[in-house]
Amino acid sequence: MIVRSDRDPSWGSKFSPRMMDFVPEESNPKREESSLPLIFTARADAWLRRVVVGGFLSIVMVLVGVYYYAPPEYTRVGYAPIQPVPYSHELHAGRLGLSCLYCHTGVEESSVAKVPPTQTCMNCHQAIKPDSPLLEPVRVSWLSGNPVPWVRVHRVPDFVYFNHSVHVRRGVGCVTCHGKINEMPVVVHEKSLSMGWCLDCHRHPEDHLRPPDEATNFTWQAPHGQSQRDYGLVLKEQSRIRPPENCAGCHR
Amino acid sequence: MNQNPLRILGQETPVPRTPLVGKAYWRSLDELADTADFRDWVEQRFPRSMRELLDGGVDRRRFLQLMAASLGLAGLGGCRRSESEILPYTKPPEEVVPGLPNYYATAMPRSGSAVAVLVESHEGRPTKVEGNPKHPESAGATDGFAQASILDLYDPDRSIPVLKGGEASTWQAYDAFAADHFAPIRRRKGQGLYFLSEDVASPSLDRLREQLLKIMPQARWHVHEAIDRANARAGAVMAFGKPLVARARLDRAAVVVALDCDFLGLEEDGGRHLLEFARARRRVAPASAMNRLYVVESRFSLTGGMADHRMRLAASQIQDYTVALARALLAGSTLSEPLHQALEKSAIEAAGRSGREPIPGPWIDEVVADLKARRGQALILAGRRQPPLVHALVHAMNELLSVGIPTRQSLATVPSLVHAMGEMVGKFGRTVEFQAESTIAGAGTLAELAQAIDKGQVETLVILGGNPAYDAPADLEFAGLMKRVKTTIRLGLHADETSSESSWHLPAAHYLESWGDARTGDGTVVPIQPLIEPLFGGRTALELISRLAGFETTTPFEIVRQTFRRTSGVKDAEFEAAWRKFLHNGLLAGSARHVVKPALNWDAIATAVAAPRPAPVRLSAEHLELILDRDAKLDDGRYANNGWLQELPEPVSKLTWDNAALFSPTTAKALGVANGDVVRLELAGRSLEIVAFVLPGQADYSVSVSLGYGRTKAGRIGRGVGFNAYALRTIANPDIAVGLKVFKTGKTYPLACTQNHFTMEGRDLVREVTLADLLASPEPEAEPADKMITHPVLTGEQQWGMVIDLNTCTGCSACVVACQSENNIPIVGKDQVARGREMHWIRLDRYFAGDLLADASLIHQPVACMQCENAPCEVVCPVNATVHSDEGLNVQVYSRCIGTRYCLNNCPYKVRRFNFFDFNERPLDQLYLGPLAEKGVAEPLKMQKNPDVTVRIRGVMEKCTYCIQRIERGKIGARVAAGTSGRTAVPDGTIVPACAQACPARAIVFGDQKDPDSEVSKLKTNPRDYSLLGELNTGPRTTYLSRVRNPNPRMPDLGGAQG
Repeated sequence: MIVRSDRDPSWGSKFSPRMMDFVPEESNPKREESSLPLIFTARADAWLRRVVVGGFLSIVMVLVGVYYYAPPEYTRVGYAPIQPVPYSHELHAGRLGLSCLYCHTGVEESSVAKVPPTQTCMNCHQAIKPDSPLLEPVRVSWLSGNPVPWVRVHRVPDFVYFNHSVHVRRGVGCVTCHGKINEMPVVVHEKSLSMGWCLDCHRHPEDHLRPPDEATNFTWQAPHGQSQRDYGLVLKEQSRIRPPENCAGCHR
Repeated sequence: MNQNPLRILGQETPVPRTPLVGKAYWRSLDELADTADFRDWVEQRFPRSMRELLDGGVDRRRFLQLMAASLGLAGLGGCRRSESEILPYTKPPEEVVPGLPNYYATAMPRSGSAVAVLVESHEGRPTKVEGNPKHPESAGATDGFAQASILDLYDPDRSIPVLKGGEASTWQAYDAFAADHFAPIRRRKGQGLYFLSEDVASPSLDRLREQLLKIMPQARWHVHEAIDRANARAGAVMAFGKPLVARARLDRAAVVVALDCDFLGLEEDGGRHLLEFARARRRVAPASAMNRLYVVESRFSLTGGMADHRMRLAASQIQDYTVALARALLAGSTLSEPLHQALEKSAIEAAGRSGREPIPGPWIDEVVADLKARRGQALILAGRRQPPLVHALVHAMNELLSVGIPTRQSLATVPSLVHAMGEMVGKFGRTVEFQAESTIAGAGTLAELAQAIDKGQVETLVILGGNPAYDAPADLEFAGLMKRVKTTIRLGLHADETSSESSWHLPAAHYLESWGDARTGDGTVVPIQPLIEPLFGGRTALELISRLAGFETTTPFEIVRQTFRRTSGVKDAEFEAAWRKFLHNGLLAGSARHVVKPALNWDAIATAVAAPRPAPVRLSAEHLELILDRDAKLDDGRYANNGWLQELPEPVSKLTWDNAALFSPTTAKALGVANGDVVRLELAGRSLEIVAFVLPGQADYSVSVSLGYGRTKAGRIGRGVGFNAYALRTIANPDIAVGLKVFKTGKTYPLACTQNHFTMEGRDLVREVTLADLLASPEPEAEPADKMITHPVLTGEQQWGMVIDLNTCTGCSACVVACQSENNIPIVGKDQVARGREMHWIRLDRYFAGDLLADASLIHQPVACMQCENAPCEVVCPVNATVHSDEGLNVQVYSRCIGTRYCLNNCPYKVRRFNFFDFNERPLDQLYLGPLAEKGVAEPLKMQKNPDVTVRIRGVMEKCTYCIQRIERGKIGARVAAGTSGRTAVPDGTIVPACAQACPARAIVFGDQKDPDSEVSKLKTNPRDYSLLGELNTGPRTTYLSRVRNPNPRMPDLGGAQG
């Protein structure tokens, strides 16, 4: 309980009028006689407190929410759209053991890995399962000349100029960025592909380097007895891997 | 710049502001006079106060409200990226790897010749034109016209439907009409059928024409070019008896005299001349190897800017000068007595006339002495618009100089002398070579066609390209004549002035959509192969002709193959291989025309000299001379709807989006006109209202106007831009006319001139030395003493740098257009240019030096981002949007930039460009409507964009990146090739920025300056190498080589090069 003496001159100088609101009403019988003017009612003050606290909390919540929900780690990871043809990498690349390069022919020379043309599908499926209803869109495309509208899974923003060839040919495997595609019946966006994620590797490529010949091998491990980091450091030294860390490496 | 600089000139000749260091250069008369307007302009660019901001009256409260609202709305839309599709090919075309560009060799047809080019194509859409490095004429370089031609392909204003009497129709309708219409004409052997084509150098078209005239012998073929070479042809006929084409070999010439001849710029073969001239110009040591250039001309041309000595002389008086020069050169010669006598007589007559300005003595005596001293390596060139006599005399003088001049004294020893000279010629080769003419043989002229129409002989007129209704001489009134022809069929890229007078307008295919062939300047046969299907369904002239003549083969592809089978002479078994090689290399090796050695007809020249000529009238303010020029940007008007060319500053006047009547300061003072005044030009009963512009270096009482402007039907870009000077053109005096009168109208007209934009205020920016000084003291530039600012160690394996050689840069501006094409740089329109908001990443600063009222000299300096090591822009960016790369590049990150423009303010070179509006997305006439304006790029224009470069949005700063996309492509290529070997350095010469690739003078060199063996490193050790504003210790990566002038010490003016 705060007891206040109006006659004490020090009170007036120490407290602003609003501080009086913190004095419980019943303990301040002489309030009506107070010479200080009342600006806010008690109810307004209560609202103010709620707004200040509530506002602070909601800002924190928004920040936490943005921090959690906005980055690609949340928005992109796990993205697995339904494709017009239920093509299974797990079957083709996993069990049948097709090389990635059979379809993604651009990956060693171009910036884009290239989604295969309908012709690539028809190379085999003219003979294998030629009447499967699941392959209907492929056959339609083959006959009509219109492309199969594959839904894009992995995508970097337009101002990022990513190049597949330099990664694959210098010893970054498919699995490093795309995950274990050979075990995915439906392709899932596994890594975030955010800028921080890119930079992690550009700053410490040794954690992910492998011999370029093994780029398409999903099960490659550093040779027995060596850690990935030690082996990667050797490769980095030998191939003189210096991934760009400046903006111009990716943004033009 | 409204204030008349001449008002100040009227009081006294202004003295240039004392520069901080070095010689005084000035970019404009305003700067020289330091007018109040110029100070205002500078003050705005370098604000000392916040006046501009405060006056802007931005309501802060309102601004914050709007910003908050837009932020809130933006948040709602950005939650998840939309689903997008990948659409692969069904049957992939061979050769196309998505993501990798392909290059195809083709050729861009020009008036009477073609330019061999290599075109970059991204997944089937052409995006960039380069020179064909396999072709000796271009050697990989191009000019601005070729660079800009890619924009013409995607011009949304190209004509799309077939037009019948102005109404939309179809090709089917035309084909049905043509089948009915031409069958009876064929039966009548072509009677009443007339063709009018441009001067097209195409073997296939020649072949079709021959075939056509065989089955329709009564048909007639006429050729019209607004800028033709009739004078040169007539001069050759006069001198040799046949129309030969003279081809100057500038790399063999040690002394060059150009008589009203812009051979490095707008004359024919300018690109090749520049390549060769630059080669000779670079031989700075030993002293005898560098060439010397004398120029006599009426208007400042780029060639005049390169001159060691330049004399202003009205174009109508150059004939007299040529006669005087020939007389002095032949003095004492016995080669041709009649010519000698005729020249003597003519010169005496001329001296007796009062109508001529006296020509300074040294301009005859010393020039002749210099020419004679270097005989065998001397070269005289006459300009396209000079009368035939000048050309003939120049042929005679070149002949004399190539073999030596037998004199009476030396006659006894002639055999040995001729032998000695012959050896010399053998050593260097002749400075002029002659080839058979390439133009369409036996074709009539436009004037003859007009006569035929007048007589009612023309029933059907087929116009293939060109725009005669616009660019025919005014006294023909060709548009009116066209109405009298019953059927006019016109093939053209745009529905223009001629189309609206035609019964049928047929859309033509652009050269990048066509199969065809052409001959380049030396006669080499080059293919024209399509990079894309006709966007708007156009057809080529080859197809049109073969259809209307009823030939069996009507597909251009087959027509060209048949022609190739003939011209190449290969057997059937080897045909496919030869054809593929032809397409791959872009030329048929060994198909150049043979060089002939004609015999000069001295007597004919003597007769021509002796023939009476009208005495030239003394020019004065009441009796002026009018020069109608080929335009450096629009040519004869054919590129009027090309925004890149319209916005390109004219190399000398620096005007954009307009032409103007150019006056010398003296003439302007006499007439009382100033920049921006509208004047009325009156000539022989015709008149034209046009804006006036004062340009130093113009001959007194000679007025120059560029052709090609004032189009009434050109498209959204070109319509109504500038003033149509064809209104003053007549058949008799197409290029030079005397008797012009100029009246002030009291009106003014705004001009968008970039001469003062991004100015760097009177410092030691361009440097020149004379060859003698350079050889005496080759002192390299001292490092700046004050090294207060340093930068972190740059660890990159390669360190990029650039050297620009001012000694060979003429200022032709091909680099500006090349950069625009490569880097997706938008155009901003005249209004924004006038506000100094043009977006060109590279600008060509033009400086005059010397005496304003007399003979100023001219020098150009390309300025793009210097990639400073201690970059002043980087330290002021609050969001780290401009940062340094480890390879020494000053990197601009668009996605970070918030548009504070602090970097622009802090840049001493003024090379950063800010997107004040969404120039890429909004129509230029709706910029101020903000979000209410239409949004989006016109459909075909999207396809031109380089996919490797971000298209910037409003509010973002941008600048030269040294073509970072090309650097990265080179680095990635080297690393992919290296694999695990570790040899990752990019070999020298692999990475070439767009500007350097386009440069016809090879003045821009780019490379790794850390590698001591690279070309750029070697150039940087040259004593002429200097840094722009190097005293600021910015450590620019781009450095310049100062210009070397090679003046004749016995000439009085020394070319303005004395420091």
